[in-house]
Amino acid sequence: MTNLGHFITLCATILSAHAIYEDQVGKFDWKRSFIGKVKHAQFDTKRLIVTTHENIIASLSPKTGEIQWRQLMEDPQEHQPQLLHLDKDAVTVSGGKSRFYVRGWDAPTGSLLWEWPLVLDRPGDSFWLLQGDLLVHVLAIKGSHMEVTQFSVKTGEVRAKTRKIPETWVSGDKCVTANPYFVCVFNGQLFWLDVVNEGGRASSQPIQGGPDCNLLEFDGPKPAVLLVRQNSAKIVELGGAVLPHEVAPNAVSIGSSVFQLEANLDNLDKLVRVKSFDLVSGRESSVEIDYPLGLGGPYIVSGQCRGPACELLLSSTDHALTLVRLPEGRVSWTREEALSNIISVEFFELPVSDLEASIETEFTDNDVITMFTRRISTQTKQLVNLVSGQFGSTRDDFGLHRIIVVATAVGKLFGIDTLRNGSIVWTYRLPNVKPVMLLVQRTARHAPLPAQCVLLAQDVTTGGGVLFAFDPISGESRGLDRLSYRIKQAFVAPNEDEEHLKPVIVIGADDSVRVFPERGPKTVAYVYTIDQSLVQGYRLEPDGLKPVWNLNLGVCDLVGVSTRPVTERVHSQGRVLHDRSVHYKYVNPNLIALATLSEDPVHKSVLNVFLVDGVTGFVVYSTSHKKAKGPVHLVHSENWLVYTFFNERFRRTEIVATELYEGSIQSNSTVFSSFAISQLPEVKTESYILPANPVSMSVTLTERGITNKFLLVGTSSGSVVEIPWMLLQPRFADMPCGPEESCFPYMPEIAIPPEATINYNQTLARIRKIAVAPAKLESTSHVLVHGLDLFYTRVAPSKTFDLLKEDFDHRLIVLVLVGLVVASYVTKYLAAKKALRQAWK
Amino acid sequence: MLKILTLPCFLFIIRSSLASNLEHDGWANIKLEHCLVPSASPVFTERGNITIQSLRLGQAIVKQNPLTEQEKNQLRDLAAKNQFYQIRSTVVASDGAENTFLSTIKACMLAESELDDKLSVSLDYTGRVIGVTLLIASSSTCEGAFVPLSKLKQFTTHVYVRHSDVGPIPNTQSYIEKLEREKEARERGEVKDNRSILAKYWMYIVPVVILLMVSSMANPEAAAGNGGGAGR
Amino acid sequence: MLYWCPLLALLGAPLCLCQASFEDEPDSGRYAIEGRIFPLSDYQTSQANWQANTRIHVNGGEFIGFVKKDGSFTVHNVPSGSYVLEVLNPEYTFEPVRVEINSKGKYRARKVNYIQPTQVIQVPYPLKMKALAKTRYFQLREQWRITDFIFNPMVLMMVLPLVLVMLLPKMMNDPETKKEIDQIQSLTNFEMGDMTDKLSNFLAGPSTAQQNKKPQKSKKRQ
Repeated sequence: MTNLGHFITLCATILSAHAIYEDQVGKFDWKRSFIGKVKHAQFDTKRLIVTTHENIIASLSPKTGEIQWRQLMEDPQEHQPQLLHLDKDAVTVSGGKSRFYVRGWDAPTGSLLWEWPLVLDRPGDSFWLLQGDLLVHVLAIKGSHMEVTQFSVKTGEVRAKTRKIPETWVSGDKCVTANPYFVCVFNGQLFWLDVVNEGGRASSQPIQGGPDCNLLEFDGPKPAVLLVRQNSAKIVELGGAVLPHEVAPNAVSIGSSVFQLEANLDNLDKLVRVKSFDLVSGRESSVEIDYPLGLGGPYIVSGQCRGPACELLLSSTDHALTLVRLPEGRVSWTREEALSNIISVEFFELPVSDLEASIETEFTDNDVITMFTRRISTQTKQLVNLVSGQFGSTRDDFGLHRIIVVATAVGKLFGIDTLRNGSIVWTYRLPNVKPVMLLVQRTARHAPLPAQCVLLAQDVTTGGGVLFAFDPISGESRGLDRLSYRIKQAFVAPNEDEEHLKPVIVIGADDSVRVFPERGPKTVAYVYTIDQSLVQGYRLEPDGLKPVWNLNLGVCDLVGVSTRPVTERVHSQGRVLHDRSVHYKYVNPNLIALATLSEDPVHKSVLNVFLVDGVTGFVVYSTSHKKAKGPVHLVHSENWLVYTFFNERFRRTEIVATELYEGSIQSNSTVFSSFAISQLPEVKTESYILPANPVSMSVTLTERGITNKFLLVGTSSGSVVEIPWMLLQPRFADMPCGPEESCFPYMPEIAIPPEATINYNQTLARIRKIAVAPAKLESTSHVLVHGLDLFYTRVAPSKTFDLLKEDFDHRLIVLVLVGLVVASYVTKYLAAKKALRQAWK
Repeated sequence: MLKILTLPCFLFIIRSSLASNLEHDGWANIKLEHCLVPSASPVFTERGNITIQSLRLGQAIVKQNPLTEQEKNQLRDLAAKNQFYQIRSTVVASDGAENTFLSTIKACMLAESELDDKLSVSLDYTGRVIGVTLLIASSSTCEGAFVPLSKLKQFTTHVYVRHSDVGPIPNTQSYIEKLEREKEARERGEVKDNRSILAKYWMYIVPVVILLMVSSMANPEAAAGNGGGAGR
Repeated sequence: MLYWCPLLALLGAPLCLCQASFEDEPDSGRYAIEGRIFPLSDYQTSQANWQANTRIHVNGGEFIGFVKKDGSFTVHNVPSGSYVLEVLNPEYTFEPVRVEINSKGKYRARKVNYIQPTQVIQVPYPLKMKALAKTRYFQLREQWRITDFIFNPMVLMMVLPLVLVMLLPKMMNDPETKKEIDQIQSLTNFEMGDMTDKLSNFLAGPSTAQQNKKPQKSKKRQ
């Protein structure tokens, strides 16, 4: 009982000690919210309602582009928004294949008004039409018929029984809706049918251009479609004529005007031009817009006009969202929605300021006078800087100011400042590439040489490898290498060349090895590849790859791979036990943790976890959990491994900690070699219940590894919680455990207090990964959580022991010191006076 | 030459309890081949044969031929040039499945240990071989070594069959018991407390009372008043 | 010798988790979980638009639900099985509930207990989700108090020596105070003697003490 009480108090003190204070909100953290690539958009007087490819409905402010509210619907992998209609309320239809949800949203607040599901008995291509409060669903069965059902949009009540309309022209992929018609192009003819009003009959009209025509929706004043052929389109009014205007496929009609974008080659400052013409009056106009450089090719999503003033919403190939005001052609705002899908993250220290860098060269001259003048001039500059308070983009003392370089799925690179609320410092767009990872070749520590980073990517069209070198601080390009072959593996070799540049070693799909830059030093390294269940280890020699080991994990799905962070340092070599003896850690830098799920006839699915030495292929440890289900998350750090999985038997998420020890004797204290195994590591394991659904897991990383470790777990509820490793560390069965041994008594369920949430009430949507980097300050780690949202903060697992407390009372200490000084002078004076008086007596 | 090894606990710590978690026992036959000449496309020659009769017990019959003079020379050269010694093991399991595994060690370490090597056969939870690794028990590596031929005669191989652990589960049972015990203890404790609020703290109460009385007696006026009261 | 092993990304083999798909199941086995949220009384004022900020997650977001203006929610298209339903709100904590739907479409709701999964404490269905409390994400800062300042060791360090150094010698030098101190000392000596005397008396004769006690009680009665 006392033990438990102890534990609870201890736990409370430890955990609450890491929470932040309310007045620290936003002081060193920031959050940026995103919505993804916009699919539909509708304007209202006060807001702009959009649905996106992330299956989100959101309301944006037309003035600033800020998100007023945002609702995340089902998983975008299976569900996509199908229809958006904004009248008084916003109506969405979202879903995919055979399951749909029809929802009504309150436009000012974003709360749900009504909702009903629709489940189809058979899959097909679905089309939706909304007229008044009548929702029409058209299910096109290719080549045979279509089924038209009318619902009441608010209740889901079927208004009219499903009509089966046998029409052979229903093709599915070349069909669109044009209220109230359902339109298809088939065999060089355009067919349409009124699906809203019963009793309508299919009509048809021949078109020129043959079978390679495509149809696009066109929301004109009269029911019309866009007939696209190659890169030009014609507006076809249903039951009317083909309009004579050649328009671009991205043409959009607002009121009676048709807007389209064109490249503007006349004015290099304004690369995009909006052309419009009125369908009724035929009046044409053209406006050049100052479209920001660095954004991808734009297209119009939606727009609204009030008299001559129009607002156009543009989306671009890099998913950026831009609002343009006409007739000025001014860009109101831009949202970089590419950041909603980040592939890779790296943290970069800023370079030292020019002033500090100049100190390096200060003493190279022999001339005393020039040295003296230089000294004086730098010092005056430093003084000026100090007085003016300008720091700019230079390194701070504690390495807390960093540039975060992120590579996004659309191939756009961003440099983000950790301070200043995550403002974007630079962007660089690489068209047609799929980024894979960022590799750091040189950090900013080697002044005056600038930092260098390489983006490893894949060409979207050819599949070949792409290497793009750039300066991570300024975003300047240092050269792009398009390889003719696919990349199998690429990594940064540890040995620097004379310019402190670490070479990137690229292994092609044909096992050829190339080094970038080519003059880079040759290196011996061990690499491994995983092809389904076959794990193959190679030794990289100057003349190529040599297979050295292999494992066959059997028929299974690989669900997780984790290795120790390359920069991680292990400060303490062992764990001190209660009798003051040391249990040495088994710290193997070459360990690879693998997790697989395999089907089993008896135990449903089985989770296997392997710890494999990457040099010898020796399976150091393996374990299995029966009736286990994903998602599996692995974290490997120091001498331990933590993984989570879902236990189907008990229907709960479990978290397992595995720790490796050498024992009471350290086999080789100076160097580690995977080849020299004197004894098998002793394995300690412990399992716990995690009362949350983890979606991502990471561990804090500090400069020298002295600070305690915290696990950072991103949960499905949108919080990132910190769990002290001490809470998970396996206990020694036969040893006392209490505060004296700095050990928590075992509790089967890990408590997650709300104070442990590092993002406090800033819920993060669809967390994908948690990137961690050490600060120069030992106590502190940088954390960037990315997913749909971006959240940056700093964590200090052992509190900021190397910094004065933020609420440290500077005034008090000054007051006390002044008081003491004054007191000593006063007493001196009084003592002198007394001595004088006594002398007179 | 036949030799049955019953797993001496040499430098390895083998937990005997692990041997029993296989659901189905099986056997495996491992054909060992080694490569003694480094080349881009290695040529493997036969080294021996290992039969593991029971994967559950891990008993192995090791049958290896003594090294020929040529092989000894090749091995010595490998060791002297600090090159790698590679083996290829072809595992035939009881269900007839055949798998080939590679393993590489430093030749000088093998030579320095006088051909005393360990073969680790890792199994997954079903008893299927997932990997075969050759190891040398040593606490340090070497950078090439010249070993006389007289020490390179015969492989003395120890085979270790390594099973997959059964993953731990949260120890809820003892926790529940502990909670129940605490609950009981608390209940009992509360009853006791109810009975003896006075009895429990008499040692604190009595001195306080005495002190109070003494101080009141020390006050002559109060004492007089008291006396007066008694007189009435 | 230290071997370095580059631990690499897998370009060729993307890791993907096979999520359970219910596409093939007959849709007759689809149910809806219903319930209602009862916010705390101060909810309306602190979060005017709390319905829009509240979400329902079933099995960590496998199925989701939104809250209507009146606080009710429905999670559609749920096949039979056992689910944990959570109410997510950034400001308030709700207790999760396990909802079980059997193959006949019968519902049962119970408290979530991960430690003893077999223990059943039923809760009413349709669900009534009450906010437990406002979530405390933040640590409270200590308030500045004058007593803290006075009892601060540094302040004590400054004040006490001052008192000792400045006042004591003065007092000792003053002949009158010296006398007074002597007096006080003698007085206390006398009193101490008196006290010990009385104590010994008291110990010797407990009866006298009792006599003393009784009148006290009687006096109280009056």
